[in-house]
This record gives sequence, structure tokens and C-alpha cells, in this order.
Amino acid sequence: MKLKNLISTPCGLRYMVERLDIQSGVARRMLLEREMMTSALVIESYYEELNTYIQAAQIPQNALAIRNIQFRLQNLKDIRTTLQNLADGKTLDEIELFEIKHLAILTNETGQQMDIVGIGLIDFGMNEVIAILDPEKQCISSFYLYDAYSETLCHLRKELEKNPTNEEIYCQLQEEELRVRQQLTSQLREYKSNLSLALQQLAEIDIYLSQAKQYIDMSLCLPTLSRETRLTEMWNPEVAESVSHRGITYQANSISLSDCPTVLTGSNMGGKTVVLKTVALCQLLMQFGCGVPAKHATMRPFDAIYCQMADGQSTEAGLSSFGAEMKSLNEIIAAARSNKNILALIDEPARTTNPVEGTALVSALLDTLQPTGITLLLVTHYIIMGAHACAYLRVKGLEEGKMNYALVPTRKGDVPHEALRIAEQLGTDDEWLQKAKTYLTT
Amino acid sequence: MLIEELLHTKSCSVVGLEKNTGKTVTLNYLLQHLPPTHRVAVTSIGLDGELKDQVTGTAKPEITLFKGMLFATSEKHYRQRRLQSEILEVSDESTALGRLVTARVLSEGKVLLSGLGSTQGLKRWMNKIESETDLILIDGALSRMSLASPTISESLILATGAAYSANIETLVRKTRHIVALTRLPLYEGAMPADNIIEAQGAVTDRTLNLILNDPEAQGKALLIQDFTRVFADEMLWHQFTKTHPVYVRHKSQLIGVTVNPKAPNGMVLDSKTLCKKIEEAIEIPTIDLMNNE
Repeated sequence: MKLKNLISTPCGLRYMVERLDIQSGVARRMLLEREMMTSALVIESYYEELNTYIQAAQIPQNALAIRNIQFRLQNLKDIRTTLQNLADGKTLDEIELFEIKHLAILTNETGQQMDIVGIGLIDFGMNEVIAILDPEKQCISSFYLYDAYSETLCHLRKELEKNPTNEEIYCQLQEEELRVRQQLTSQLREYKSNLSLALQQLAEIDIYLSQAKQYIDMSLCLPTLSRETRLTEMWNPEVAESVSHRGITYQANSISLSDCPTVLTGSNMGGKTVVLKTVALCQLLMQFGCGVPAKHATMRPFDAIYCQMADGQSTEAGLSSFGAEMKSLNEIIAAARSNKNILALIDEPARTTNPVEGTALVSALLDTLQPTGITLLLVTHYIIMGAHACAYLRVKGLEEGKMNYALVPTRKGDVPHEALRIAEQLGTDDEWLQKAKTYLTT
Repeated sequence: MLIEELLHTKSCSVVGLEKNTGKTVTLNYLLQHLPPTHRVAVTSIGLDGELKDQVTGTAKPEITLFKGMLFATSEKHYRQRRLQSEILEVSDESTALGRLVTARVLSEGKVLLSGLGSTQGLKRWMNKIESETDLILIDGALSRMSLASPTISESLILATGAAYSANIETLVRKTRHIVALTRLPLYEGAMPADNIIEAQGAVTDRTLNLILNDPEAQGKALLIQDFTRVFADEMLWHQFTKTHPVYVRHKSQLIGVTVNPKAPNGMVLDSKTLCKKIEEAIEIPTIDLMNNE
């Protein structure tokens, strides 16, 4: 799966990606085109590289050079079409030749600044490219078909200046210009792969720098890759920002996931869905090589991440919310049967149906998914039936009228009955709640 | 006189009141008469005329540029240019005809101008080259087709002529109307907001009638974005402004009017009388492009 296909996962991933301070459009496009990494080795080596950027960015003396690099990268252009034309054997025009010269010079300039920061770049032979496109050794990135390329060119131009309306000279000049461009193109063709690699290298620097900056600015962490998942004091930056507007402080919490399913219960408004979203967010960020919003994180990569949110797009394809939910749960079951290395995050399944059948459906879902060995985090209000090797977690809930969002281990069947109390705190109609209480006592 | 005015402005849009009123002739005239030491950059506001020309197949007139001038045009028109130039920048921002190429003229010649279609894009371009130029000339548009407004520039030159109207009296009256619009006062934000009706887009007869017929809007001022947004009938506009003050958010200083006495259908007006009448009516330097040499 590519980032562009996953960015809309309702967990705050888009929020994080949009806050990456990427300078060039081409780097942004390349980032969105990236495949999710699924190998621990690949992720580790990516983090190793990112870490060199983070360390470089943390040194105050490097600040100016980094600003210079980012400033230059603003001028990085997406010239992949031009490079494709070069590879396809087409004769490049002046605009395309300019673009190549510009890229070569930008690569060298960026390389010099990167040396100051202490990160070496791979040399893709851009000096040779510049030599071809800068015959008068002016060392500036402007370009035209210089007189130095051909004596005929120089001569015809002088002639045309004397007789500006002479169509014959004009045509001869056009032909000579074409010949020069053909010659330049064939000289450049040798560097076609190197130019693509140089473009990619600059885009990657742009992405690494933005990730390093986000890591520092948001106090993120780089997870340790392991067999288990343990997120300590994780938070969801998007939710944290939206609650801070309302003057509420976000309470970070910690969670561990193992091979057996984890069932999370807790009172309404206890932040269960936020826990689920944050786990999804951390997992996706890690598998795209970004810093993770947690104090410490030990994580493992999965081949696929399924995120079934209660506030998902239930109206898509004209299905009812129940219909849409059953369809996507079905997909998770099918995926779990063929591959146990997946992470499934399921928010309140069967919540829209009656509690009797709902309870049966959720309990049976655990029956079905547990043997597959996938990593599962499931949020529910229902009391699970049957015997499962599950880990049970509960949001602490109301303490002296205040919500404590911490997660604590609990036993099966411990589902808090705080809905009425919370409704009361929300100022819900008194008569209604009193009548509800009467039903509970009878 | 007009050239003198131009030396004191950082940017100027040339706006034609109708096709063939001599906007290109005006630009060529200005480019030719500016002192060679004055660093000039030229571009165009996006689509004006472009599409129409492509439909009718008539060639869009080229402008002549001189050594050292900067210009920006679309990729397509850059490739078709008849002059020597070095490319300084190829922008990610696109025009209707491909990316925008900024270049410096190496030897005199002709080029077709096309440019960015949005005010913000144009503003960014202007900011980028500001330090390298004394004057930015913009081939402006006065049309609903254009998203970018010529009032982005400090000053403004109007090109009017026989193509706009074949009758001298009508031409003078219509030109005076547009000139009056360019002179609408700039909104300084001194008025309480509930005394103002702001129009974000075009101001048409319908807009004016709505305000005139609304008892709650009596005496309230109308705030428009700039003079190019007014498409209302001249008479109605006059009636409207008698009871409602009008302000603009963006304004350029009108520094001159050029007159093209020739219409495309071959008719030629008496340019002396024409210029005199226009000059009297609007009290601003007026140049007859055909008889100025």
C-alpha cells in the first residue's frame, strides 16, 4: 500500500504528513508514492539514516546550513518527464536542457551545504553534466544555446542580426540549433540514470530533513524494532491540538499488544477510540519511517494494517452503517485467514444492532480471529461470552467527577456502568435520566 | 509625457477596453521609448484574447523586446519566439499553455506573451524579479475571462480606440466611464462594517438593482474588489452612484490613455479631435499611437 492510499485512514496520519515541512512539490509527490515498509530490516536502516539527520539538525551550528539546504530545495523541480524524454531518445529543447543544468547545479550546491552538516552525498557525476551545459564556465543556472557550441551558430546569429527579416538565415539558424541540441542530448544521454538518481537523492534529503524537524519540534521518538508492540505514553497530535483549543490537557497513555487479542472496554467518552486511532497512527508512521508520538516505542512491522473505525465512512457504496461494517469486518477475517502478520484495530463492532445479537457477534468475532494469530485490538461495550485467551484492558474512567484516561488491566466481564453518570455530567435532561435509573433498579 | 510617468512607477498594467484597441501597439510603443538603461520586465495576464485568438485563428500580435529585458511567457510561446534569450527560470506554476518560462533577451526580436492566470501567481512572480527590475509591464486583461486583476500593479494605462466604438461621442463617453471607475476611492477601512455592502465578484445590473430595491440597503456604501469587476450598464451605474458611495479594495493609479483611431473593419476616426476630446473629458495624458512619431 502506498502512503497516498493510506493517508485518509481516520487516525490523524494526514495531520502528521501535512505538517512535514517539505520544500519541494516533487519530494511531496515522491513521499505520497512511497510503499509502506514491511521489513524490520528496511525500517531499521531507514531510521538509522533519519537519525543522522536528526543528530545533525540538533547541533545549533548546523542551523544556518540546514536553512540554506531547505531554501535551495524549494527550487527542486519535478523534471521526471524531461528525464523520461532523455531516456526515450528524444531531442531535448532549450527548456529541458535548462532544467537538467538547473538540477545538476542544485545537486552540487546542496552537496556543499550537506558537507558542512556532515552528511555526505553520493556523487552522480553532476560536474560532467554542468561542463556540457556551461561551456562558457559562468557557473550560473541560466541557459541558452551558447555561441561556444558551434561556429556556424555564432556566424548565423551575427548574420541574422544584420538582416533580421531574412527567412533563409533564420531557417539555417533553426537547423543549426537543432543540430546543437541533438549533440548535447546525445552527450547527456550517458547520464540519464544518474540524473534520475540525483533528483531522487535531493527529494529524499528534503523528506529526511522534514522528518527530522518534525521529530525535534513535536518531541517524537524513533521506535525500537522488536517482536512485540509496546507504546509508552503515546499521544495523538491531532486530537491533542483539537482538545487544547478547548482548554483541556491531553492525557498520554500506554498500551502493549501481543499475539493474543486485546479487548478494550471503558465508559463512554473515556477515549477508547482515541487509543485505537493513536495505535493506528503510530504503526503507520513507523512503517513510513517517521517519528512516532510516544515517549518510548517498541514496535514490529505488519504486512497490512486494518483500521475499522466507528466514525468511518458508513454511507459509502449506499450500504447502511451495519452493512458497511459487516463488509469490512469480513475483509479483515479473510485477510487474517491468509496472513497472520496483520494488525487489526476494530472500534465497537456491531454497535448499531441490538445488544443480544451484538454481544453474540462480537464474542464470535473473537472466536474466529483469535486462532488466526493476528494482532488485534478491539473496543467494545459488550460483555464478551465464551472463553478466550484475551488480554482485557479498561479505561480507568470517572474518578471524583473527573475522567482518568489511563488504561489498566482488568478481567473479563468488567464493563463499566457509567453511562448515566456521564450523561448527568453532560447536563442531560433530568427527567429522562431519573426514569432510566428506575428501569435499572427494577 | 507618458514615458516620463512610467519611469516613476514600479509596475504598470496595460489594459485594452476592447480587442484591437491597440494594447499590443501600446506595449510596443512603451518598450521602444523607454530608456535602454531602465531595467524592464514584461509578462501577460493569462488568458486574455488567447482563447478567442485560437478559435478565430487570427495570430496574436507579437511584441518586440530589446536586449537585456526580462520576460515571462508560457512554454509554448517560448519555443515559438523569434529572439535570442537565456532561460533564467522555469516555474512549477502553469499557464494555460504550459509552465511559465522567465528569460532574459540577448538580442532584439519578437515574442508572444502569455502568462499566469492567477493574481497570486503573478504576485509571486513579480516579487521574485522585483530586485532585478526597475519596471514590470503587464499585458493586462479587462475581461470576465481573466481571474487575475490588472490592479495588481501600481499603475495602469488604458488603451481605447475605434474598435471600442465607431462614434467619437460614444467612444469618449464610454472611455470616460471606465476612467471614472479606475478613480473610485480606495477603501481605508474607516467606515463601520454595517454601513457597507461588499461584493466579492462581478457587479452587474442585477447586483445594483438588488441593492437599489432593498429598503435596508438605502444609503449604504458598496465595496467592490477593483474597477474591473463592474459590468453594469453605464446609465444604471450613474443612477446608483448618486445614492450609494462606492469604494474599491485594490486600486492602481491611472497614468495615461492611448488611442488607436483605426478599427479592424478599416474605419479611421479623426485622431486629433478624438484625442483632444478624450483628454478634455478625463484630464490625463492621451497619446495617439498612429500619429505620435
